[in-house]
Amino acid sequence: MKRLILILLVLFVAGCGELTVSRQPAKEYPTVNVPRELRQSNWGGSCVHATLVSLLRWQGQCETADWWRRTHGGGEVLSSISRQMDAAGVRYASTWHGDVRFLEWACETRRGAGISIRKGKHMVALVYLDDEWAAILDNKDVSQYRWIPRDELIAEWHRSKRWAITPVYSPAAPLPW
Amino acid sequence: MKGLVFLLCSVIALTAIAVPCYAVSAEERVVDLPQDQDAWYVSIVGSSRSPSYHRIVGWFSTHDGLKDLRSQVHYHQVTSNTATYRERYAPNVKALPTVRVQDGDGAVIYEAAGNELPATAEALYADIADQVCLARGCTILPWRKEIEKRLTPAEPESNETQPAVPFTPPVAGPPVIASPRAGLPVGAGVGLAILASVIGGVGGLAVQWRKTYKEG
Repeated sequence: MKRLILILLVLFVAGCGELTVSRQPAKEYPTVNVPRELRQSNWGGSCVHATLVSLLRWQGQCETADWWRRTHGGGEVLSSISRQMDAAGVRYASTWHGDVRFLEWACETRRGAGISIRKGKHMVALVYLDDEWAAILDNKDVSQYRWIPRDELIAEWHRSKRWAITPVYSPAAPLPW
Repeated sequence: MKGLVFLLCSVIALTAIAVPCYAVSAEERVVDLPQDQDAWYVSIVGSSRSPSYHRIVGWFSTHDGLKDLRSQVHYHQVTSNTATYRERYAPNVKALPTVRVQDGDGAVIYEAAGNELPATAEALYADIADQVCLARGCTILPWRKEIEKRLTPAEPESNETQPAVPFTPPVAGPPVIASPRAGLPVGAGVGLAILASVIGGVGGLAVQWRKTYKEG
Protein backbone atom coordinates (compact mmCIF):
# COMPACT_ATOMS: atom_id res chain seq x y z
CA MET A 1 0.00 0.00 0.00
CA LYS A 2 2.87 2.34 0.80
CA ARG A 3 4.27 1.73 -2.67
CA LEU A 4 0.92 2.60 -4.18
CA ILE A 5 0.86 5.87 -2.30
CA LEU A 6 4.42 6.63 -3.35
CA ILE A 7 3.63 5.90 -6.99
CA LEU A 8 0.53 8.12 -6.79
CA LEU A 9 2.61 10.95 -5.39
CA VAL A 10 5.32 10.55 -8.00
CA LEU A 11 2.73 10.51 -10.78
CA PHE A 12 1.07 13.58 -9.33
CA VAL A 13 4.31 15.52 -9.20
CA ALA A 14 5.47 14.27 -12.62
CA GLY A 15 2.17 15.29 -14.20
CA CYS A 16 2.66 18.89 -13.16
CA GLY A 17 6.02 19.44 -14.75
CA GLU A 18 7.70 18.83 -18.05
CA LEU A 19 11.30 17.94 -18.56
CA THR A 20 13.52 20.66 -19.90
CA VAL A 21 16.19 19.43 -22.27
CA SER A 22 19.12 21.77 -22.59
CA ARG A 23 20.32 22.32 -26.14
CA GLN A 24 23.29 24.11 -27.56
CA PRO A 25 22.78 26.72 -30.27
CA ALA A 26 24.34 26.05 -33.63
CA LYS A 27 26.04 29.38 -34.29
CA GLU A 28 25.75 30.90 -37.71
CA TYR A 29 28.90 32.50 -39.13
CA PRO A 30 28.85 35.28 -39.98
CA THR A 31 25.92 36.44 -37.88
CA VAL A 32 24.68 38.65 -40.70
CA ASN A 33 24.56 35.91 -43.29
CA VAL A 34 22.94 37.69 -46.22
CA PRO A 35 21.46 35.22 -48.74
CA ARG A 36 23.56 35.15 -51.88
CA GLU A 37 20.74 36.47 -54.10
CA LEU A 38 20.18 39.44 -51.81
CA ARG A 39 23.77 40.66 -51.84
CA GLN A 40 24.04 43.79 -53.94
CA SER A 41 27.10 44.22 -56.13
CA ASN A 42 28.63 47.63 -56.66
CA TRP A 43 27.33 49.55 -59.66
CA GLY A 44 29.39 52.46 -60.96
CA GLY A 45 31.14 53.48 -57.74
CA SER A 46 28.06 53.16 -55.55
CA CYS A 47 29.66 51.25 -52.70
CA VAL A 48 27.65 53.07 -50.03
CA HIS A 49 24.37 52.42 -51.81
CA ALA A 50 25.24 48.80 -52.58
CA THR A 51 26.10 48.17 -48.93
CA LEU A 52 22.88 49.76 -47.73
CA VAL A 53 20.81 47.82 -50.27
CA SER A 54 22.26 44.53 -49.01
CA LEU A 55 21.61 45.49 -45.39
CA LEU A 56 18.07 46.68 -46.14
CA ARG A 57 17.31 43.33 -47.78
CA TRP A 58 18.80 41.45 -44.83
CA GLN A 59 16.54 43.48 -42.56
CA GLY A 60 13.43 42.51 -44.48
CA GLN A 61 13.05 45.75 -46.44
CA CYS A 62 13.34 44.26 -49.92
CA GLU A 63 10.91 46.65 -51.60
CA THR A 64 12.68 49.69 -50.20
CA ALA A 65 16.02 48.17 -51.15
CA ASP A 66 14.95 47.52 -54.73
CA TRP A 67 13.56 51.02 -55.01
CA TRP A 68 16.80 52.42 -53.59
CA ARG A 69 18.80 50.41 -56.11
CA ARG A 70 16.74 51.87 -58.97
CA THR A 71 16.77 55.48 -57.83
CA HIS A 72 20.09 56.10 -56.11
CA GLY A 73 23.72 55.88 -57.13
CA GLY A 74 27.12 57.50 -57.18
CA GLY A 75 29.65 58.23 -54.45
CA GLU A 76 28.49 59.46 -51.06
CA VAL A 77 29.78 60.77 -47.76
CA LEU A 78 27.99 60.40 -44.43
CA SER A 79 26.21 63.76 -44.65
CA SER A 80 24.89 63.19 -48.16
CA ILE A 81 23.71 59.62 -47.55
CA SER A 82 22.10 60.72 -44.28
CA ARG A 83 20.14 63.41 -46.13
CA GLN A 84 18.92 60.88 -48.65
CA MET A 85 17.87 58.41 -46.00
CA ASP A 86 16.08 61.15 -44.07
CA ALA A 87 14.29 62.23 -47.24
CA ALA A 88 13.23 58.66 -47.98
CA GLY A 89 12.06 58.06 -44.44
CA VAL A 90 14.49 55.20 -43.93
CA ARG A 91 15.30 54.49 -40.30
CA TYR A 92 19.01 54.33 -39.68
CA ALA A 93 21.77 54.77 -37.12
CA SER A 94 25.26 56.08 -37.78
CA THR A 95 28.50 57.23 -36.21
CA TRP A 96 31.35 59.34 -37.43
CA HIS A 97 33.54 59.13 -34.32
CA GLY A 98 34.98 55.66 -34.82
CA ASP A 99 33.11 54.37 -31.79
CA VAL A 100 33.70 50.62 -31.78
CA ARG A 101 30.64 50.15 -29.56
CA PHE A 102 28.51 51.08 -32.55
CA LEU A 103 30.00 48.21 -34.54
CA GLU A 104 29.54 45.83 -31.62
CA TRP A 105 25.93 46.89 -31.24
CA ALA A 106 25.27 46.48 -34.95
CA CYS A 107 26.63 42.94 -34.95
CA GLU A 108 25.15 41.91 -31.62
CA THR A 109 21.73 42.93 -32.85
CA ARG A 110 22.42 41.04 -36.11
CA ARG A 111 21.82 44.13 -38.26
CA GLY A 112 25.36 44.62 -39.58
CA ALA A 113 26.70 48.02 -40.64
CA GLY A 114 28.31 49.78 -43.54
CA ILE A 115 31.84 50.86 -42.57
CA SER A 116 34.32 53.08 -44.35
CA ILE A 117 37.69 51.61 -45.37
CA ARG A 118 40.59 52.50 -47.66
CA LYS A 119 40.98 56.05 -46.32
CA GLY A 120 37.26 56.59 -46.62
CA LYS A 121 37.14 55.85 -50.35
CA HIS A 122 35.23 52.59 -50.05
CA MET A 123 32.42 51.13 -47.96
CA VAL A 124 31.78 47.48 -47.11
CA ALA A 125 29.28 45.72 -44.89
CA LEU A 126 30.53 44.55 -41.53
CA VAL A 127 28.74 41.24 -41.01
CA TYR A 128 30.50 39.83 -37.96
CA LEU A 129 32.56 41.08 -35.03
CA ASP A 130 33.74 39.30 -31.91
CA ASP A 131 36.75 39.64 -29.62
CA GLU A 132 39.14 38.24 -32.21
CA TRP A 133 37.60 38.31 -35.63
CA ALA A 134 35.59 40.44 -38.00
CA ALA A 135 33.97 39.58 -41.32
CA ILE A 136 33.05 41.88 -44.16
CA LEU A 137 30.99 41.59 -47.30
CA ASP A 138 32.63 43.66 -50.02
CA ASN A 139 30.25 44.83 -52.72
CA LYS A 140 33.09 44.45 -55.24
CA ASP A 141 33.00 40.68 -54.67
CA VAL A 142 29.80 39.50 -53.00
CA SER A 143 30.53 35.83 -53.61
CA GLN A 144 32.31 35.41 -50.28
CA TYR A 145 32.92 36.93 -46.87
CA ARG A 146 36.38 38.17 -45.92
CA TRP A 147 37.58 37.33 -42.42
CA ILE A 148 40.00 39.78 -40.81
CA PRO A 149 41.47 39.99 -37.30
CA ARG A 150 39.34 42.38 -35.26
CA ASP A 151 42.19 44.74 -34.38
CA GLU A 152 43.24 44.97 -38.00
CA LEU A 153 39.73 45.85 -39.16
CA ILE A 154 39.22 48.48 -36.47
CA ALA A 155 42.61 50.04 -37.22
CA GLU A 156 41.70 50.20 -40.90
CA TRP A 157 38.34 51.77 -40.05
CA HIS A 158 40.02 54.37 -37.81
CA ARG A 159 42.36 55.30 -40.67
CA SER A 160 39.38 55.66 -43.00
CA LYS A 161 37.21 58.54 -41.72
CA ARG A 162 35.73 56.28 -39.04
CA TRP A 163 32.11 56.37 -40.14
CA ALA A 164 29.54 53.67 -40.07
CA ILE A 165 25.84 53.48 -40.87
CA THR A 166 23.08 50.90 -40.78
CA PRO A 167 19.35 50.74 -41.40
CA VAL A 168 17.39 49.93 -38.25
CA TYR A 169 14.76 47.31 -39.00
CA SER A 170 14.27 43.69 -38.08
CA PRO A 171 17.15 41.43 -39.09
CA ALA A 172 16.36 38.07 -40.66
CA ALA A 173 15.64 35.32 -38.16
CA PRO A 174 18.56 33.10 -37.18
CA LEU A 175 18.65 29.60 -38.61
CA PRO A 176 16.51 27.38 -36.37
CA TRP A 177 17.86 24.69 -34.05
CA MET B 1 -4.52 2.35 6.84
CA LYS B 2 -7.64 2.67 4.69
CA GLY B 3 -8.30 5.96 6.43
CA LEU B 4 -4.83 7.18 5.55
CA VAL B 5 -5.27 6.27 1.88
CA PHE B 6 -8.71 7.88 1.77
CA LEU B 7 -7.43 11.04 3.36
CA LEU B 8 -4.43 11.21 1.05
CA CYS B 9 -6.57 10.75 -2.04
CA SER B 10 -9.01 13.37 -0.80
CA VAL B 11 -6.20 15.86 -0.32
CA ILE B 12 -4.85 15.17 -3.81
CA ALA B 13 -8.31 15.61 -5.30
CA LEU B 14 -8.89 18.83 -3.38
CA THR B 15 -5.52 20.11 -4.50
CA ALA B 16 -6.37 19.40 -8.14
CA ILE B 17 -9.63 21.31 -7.73
CA ALA B 18 -7.80 24.19 -6.07
CA VAL B 19 -5.30 24.53 -8.92
CA PRO B 20 -7.68 26.31 -11.32
CA CYS B 21 -8.37 28.88 -8.62
CA TYR B 22 -4.67 29.59 -8.40
CA ALA B 23 -4.51 29.59 -12.16
CA VAL B 24 -7.22 32.22 -12.51
CA SER B 25 -5.12 34.62 -10.52
CA ALA B 26 -2.16 33.65 -12.71
CA GLU B 27 -3.90 34.84 -15.90
CA GLU B 28 -2.33 38.22 -15.47
CA ARG B 29 1.14 36.74 -15.18
CA VAL B 30 3.50 38.22 -17.74
CA VAL B 31 6.43 36.61 -19.43
CA ASP B 32 9.43 38.81 -20.01
CA LEU B 33 11.04 38.55 -23.40
CA PRO B 34 14.69 39.48 -23.85
CA GLN B 35 16.17 42.87 -24.83
CA ASP B 36 16.89 43.93 -28.41
CA GLN B 37 20.03 41.89 -29.06
CA ASP B 38 18.18 38.92 -27.66
CA ALA B 39 14.86 39.87 -29.22
CA TRP B 40 12.71 36.96 -30.34
CA TYR B 41 11.63 36.29 -33.89
CA VAL B 42 8.26 35.39 -35.34
CA SER B 43 8.19 34.13 -38.91
CA ILE B 44 5.04 33.50 -40.92
CA VAL B 45 6.09 31.47 -43.92
CA GLY B 46 3.88 30.52 -46.83
CA SER B 47 2.88 30.87 -50.42
CA SER B 48 1.62 34.29 -51.41
CA ARG B 49 -1.23 32.48 -53.24
CA SER B 50 -2.30 30.51 -50.19
CA PRO B 51 -5.52 31.67 -48.46
CA SER B 52 -4.44 29.99 -45.23
CA TYR B 53 -1.16 31.96 -45.26
CA HIS B 54 -3.05 35.21 -45.70
CA ARG B 55 -5.53 34.23 -42.99
CA ILE B 56 -2.71 33.70 -40.50
CA VAL B 57 -0.98 36.90 -41.54
CA GLY B 58 -4.31 38.65 -40.98
CA TRP B 59 -4.54 37.28 -37.45
CA PHE B 60 -1.35 39.15 -36.58
CA SER B 61 -3.10 42.37 -37.54
CA THR B 62 -6.51 41.72 -36.04
CA HIS B 63 -6.11 39.58 -32.91
CA ASP B 64 -5.12 41.74 -29.96
CA GLY B 65 -2.77 39.21 -28.41
CA LEU B 66 -0.98 38.37 -31.66
CA LYS B 67 -0.76 42.06 -32.54
CA ASP B 68 0.82 42.72 -29.18
CA LEU B 69 3.26 39.84 -29.64
CA ARG B 70 4.14 41.08 -33.11
CA SER B 71 4.97 44.53 -31.76
CA GLN B 72 7.49 43.04 -29.36
CA VAL B 73 9.48 40.76 -31.64
CA HIS B 74 11.28 40.81 -34.97
CA TYR B 75 8.32 39.90 -37.15
CA HIS B 76 8.77 38.51 -40.65
CA GLN B 77 6.39 37.46 -43.37
CA VAL B 78 8.29 35.22 -45.73
CA THR B 79 6.74 34.10 -48.99
CA SER B 80 7.96 31.04 -50.82
CA ASN B 81 8.96 32.95 -53.95
CA THR B 82 11.74 34.90 -52.23
CA ALA B 83 15.48 34.36 -51.86
CA THR B 84 15.12 34.54 -48.10
CA TYR B 85 12.73 31.59 -48.21
CA ARG B 86 14.85 29.55 -50.58
CA GLU B 87 18.04 29.98 -48.57
CA ARG B 88 16.87 30.23 -44.97
CA TYR B 89 13.51 28.49 -44.71
CA ALA B 90 13.07 25.90 -47.48
CA PRO B 91 15.64 23.52 -45.95
CA ASN B 92 14.00 23.55 -42.52
CA VAL B 93 10.22 23.99 -42.76
CA LYS B 94 8.02 20.90 -42.70
CA ALA B 95 5.08 22.33 -44.60
CA LEU B 96 3.47 25.59 -45.62
CA PRO B 97 2.23 27.72 -44.11
CA THR B 98 4.47 27.68 -41.07
CA VAL B 99 4.38 29.81 -37.94
CA ARG B 100 7.69 29.78 -36.11
CA VAL B 101 8.72 31.55 -32.93
CA GLN B 102 12.44 31.63 -32.10
CA ASP B 103 14.41 33.09 -29.26
CA GLY B 104 17.35 35.40 -29.90
CA ASP B 105 19.74 32.49 -30.37
CA GLY B 106 17.52 30.85 -32.95
CA ALA B 107 16.10 28.11 -30.71
CA VAL B 108 12.62 27.22 -31.88
CA ILE B 109 10.17 27.97 -29.10
CA TYR B 110 7.04 27.24 -31.11
CA GLU B 111 6.45 25.93 -34.58
CA ALA B 112 3.34 24.68 -36.33
CA ALA B 113 3.02 23.91 -40.01
CA GLY B 114 0.36 22.87 -42.49
CA ASN B 115 -2.45 20.89 -40.89
CA GLU B 116 -0.91 21.23 -37.42
CA LEU B 117 -1.75 24.93 -37.38
CA PRO B 118 -4.52 25.93 -34.98
CA ALA B 119 -7.83 26.79 -36.61
CA THR B 120 -8.33 30.10 -34.83
CA ALA B 121 -6.27 33.12 -33.86
CA GLU B 122 -7.19 32.52 -30.22
CA ALA B 123 -5.90 28.96 -30.34
CA LEU B 124 -2.68 30.02 -32.07
CA TYR B 125 -2.06 32.72 -29.50
CA ALA B 126 -2.78 30.34 -26.66
CA ASP B 127 -0.42 27.72 -28.08
CA ILE B 128 2.36 30.28 -28.54
CA ALA B 129 1.79 31.65 -25.05
CA ASP B 130 2.01 28.12 -23.64
CA GLN B 131 5.35 27.49 -25.32
CA VAL B 132 6.71 30.89 -24.31
CA CYS B 133 5.62 30.07 -20.79
CA LEU B 134 7.35 26.67 -20.92
CA ALA B 135 10.50 28.24 -22.27
CA ARG B 136 10.51 30.54 -19.28
CA GLY B 137 10.17 27.70 -16.80
CA CYS B 138 6.49 27.50 -15.99
CA THR B 139 4.08 24.82 -17.07
CA ILE B 140 0.49 24.21 -18.13
CA LEU B 141 -1.45 21.33 -16.64
CA PRO B 142 -2.09 18.91 -19.51
CA TRP B 143 -5.67 18.13 -18.57
CA ARG B 144 -6.51 21.83 -18.46
CA LYS B 145 -4.90 22.42 -21.86
CA GLU B 146 -7.09 19.72 -23.40
CA ILE B 147 -10.27 21.10 -21.83
CA GLU B 148 -9.58 24.59 -23.14
CA LYS B 149 -8.80 23.28 -26.61
CA ARG B 150 -12.20 21.60 -26.69
CA LEU B 151 -13.90 24.76 -25.50
CA THR B 152 -12.30 26.95 -28.18
CA PRO B 153 -14.81 27.39 -31.00
CA ALA B 154 -13.66 27.01 -34.58
CA GLU B 155 -13.42 30.22 -36.57
CA PRO B 156 -15.28 30.36 -39.88
CA GLU B 157 -13.18 30.49 -43.03
CA SER B 158 -12.43 34.01 -44.17
CA ASN B 159 -11.34 35.34 -47.54
CA GLU B 160 -9.99 38.60 -46.19
CA THR B 161 -6.95 39.89 -48.00
CA GLN B 162 -3.55 40.40 -46.49
CA PRO B 163 -3.43 43.67 -44.59
CA ALA B 164 -0.66 46.16 -45.11
CA VAL B 165 2.26 45.54 -42.79
CA PRO B 166 3.58 48.67 -41.11
CA PHE B 167 7.11 48.68 -39.79
CA THR B 168 7.39 47.39 -36.26
CA PRO B 169 10.05 49.27 -34.34
CA PRO B 170 12.70 47.09 -32.74
CA VAL B 171 12.22 46.06 -29.18
CA ALA B 172 13.78 48.59 -26.83
CA GLY B 173 13.10 46.88 -23.55
CA PRO B 174 11.77 43.60 -22.30
CA PRO B 175 8.34 43.12 -23.91
CA VAL B 176 5.70 40.92 -22.37
CA ILE B 177 3.17 38.37 -23.54
CA ALA B 178 0.20 37.58 -21.34
CA SER B 179 -0.91 33.98 -21.31
CA PRO B 180 -4.63 33.55 -21.95
CA ARG B 181 -4.53 30.11 -20.37
CA ALA B 182 -4.02 29.07 -16.85
CA GLY B 183 -0.46 28.33 -16.01
CA LEU B 184 1.30 26.98 -12.96
CA PRO B 185 4.93 27.58 -12.10
CA VAL B 186 6.88 24.35 -11.64
CA GLY B 187 7.80 25.36 -8.09
CA ALA B 188 4.15 25.88 -7.20
CA GLY B 189 3.21 22.44 -8.50
CA VAL B 190 5.93 20.74 -6.48
CA GLY B 191 5.00 22.83 -3.44
CA LEU B 192 1.37 21.77 -3.70
CA ALA B 193 2.40 18.12 -3.97
CA ILE B 194 4.58 18.40 -0.88
CA LEU B 195 1.79 20.18 0.96
CA ALA B 196 -0.64 17.44 -0.04
CA SER B 197 1.81 14.80 1.21
CA VAL B 198 2.29 16.54 4.54
CA ILE B 199 -1.42 17.05 5.07
CA GLY B 200 -2.13 13.48 4.03
CA GLY B 201 0.55 12.12 6.33
CA VAL B 202 -0.58 14.13 9.34
CA GLY B 203 -4.20 13.23 8.67
CA GLY B 204 -3.33 9.56 8.39
CA LEU B 205 -1.38 9.63 11.61
CA ALA B 206 -4.30 11.29 13.35
CA VAL B 207 -6.70 8.60 12.13
CA GLN B 208 -4.35 5.83 13.16
CA TRP B 209 -3.74 7.46 16.54
CA ARG B 210 -7.45 7.73 17.11
CA LYS B 211 -7.96 4.08 16.11
CA THR B 212 -5.13 2.92 18.33
CA TYR B 213 -5.66 4.98 21.43
CA LYS B 214 -9.24 6.25 21.42
CA GLU B 215 -11.17 3.33 19.96
CA GLY B 216 -8.97 0.76 21.75
